[in-house]
Amino acid sequence: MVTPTQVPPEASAAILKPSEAVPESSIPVRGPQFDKQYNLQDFLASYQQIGFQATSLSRAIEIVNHMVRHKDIYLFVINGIKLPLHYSVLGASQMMNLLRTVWTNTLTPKFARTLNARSFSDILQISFLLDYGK
Amino acid sequence: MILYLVKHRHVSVLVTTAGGIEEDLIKCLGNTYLADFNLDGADLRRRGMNRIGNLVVPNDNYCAFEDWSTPILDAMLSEQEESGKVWTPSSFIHRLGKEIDNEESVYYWAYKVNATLLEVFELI
Repeated sequence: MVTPTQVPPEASAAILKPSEAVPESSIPVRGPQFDKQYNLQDFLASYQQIGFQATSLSRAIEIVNHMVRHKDIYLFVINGIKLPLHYSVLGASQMMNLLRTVWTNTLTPKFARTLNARSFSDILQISFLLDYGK
Repeated sequence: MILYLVKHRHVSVLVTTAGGIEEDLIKCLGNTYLADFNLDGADLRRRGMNRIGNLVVPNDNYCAFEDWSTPILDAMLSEQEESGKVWTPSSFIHRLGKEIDNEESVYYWAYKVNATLLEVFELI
């Protein structure tokens, strides 16, 4: 039988390595307390402290809320056209339609019709080309 | 969620892994913290931190677990030698739930409400 004193010191030092103090700002993991009555907002807020993907979902909700609240932040400005950041919560095709409508008034109609995007990165690329090529 | 279900007797059997039980007890001895999937492993090791997904667990928590569990295991061994009672996974977990005596623990509540715990070890 192996007693604690027979454990090789290298092995026990590796396993029982002491940890540095965590920064004061560290947030401990804490799941929602189901004995408490939650409303939806409080319940969703508890996701922040769950860890794993629940924390990521909470962060995503926070970002979208920030985008919706700060309507004066622009994703980009092209030819004097401002695209508010919160529009990026729309799907790529909705956003493209919106842009096309605006651009039709500033670009030749033919060029505006050829614009197409399948993804958010396409939109950014097209916007960049338009801005760069003017 | 699991704690709530066990505490209010909505389940009578839990099937879980050894790791699930260990972490349930360790969380009573020290905090786990929100962190990131992309932390540098070598740096964490230097600082005595263990990463689980996007969380970190200070190694001190595992040391505290060793300090907490070793005397219990010693006591359980001498009880077995005296009485001849053989510990099973479920009676073992029942005992740990009693010893942890902490309302944050799922296995504490399993002990309190006397749920039968069936542990299944991961095979891979």
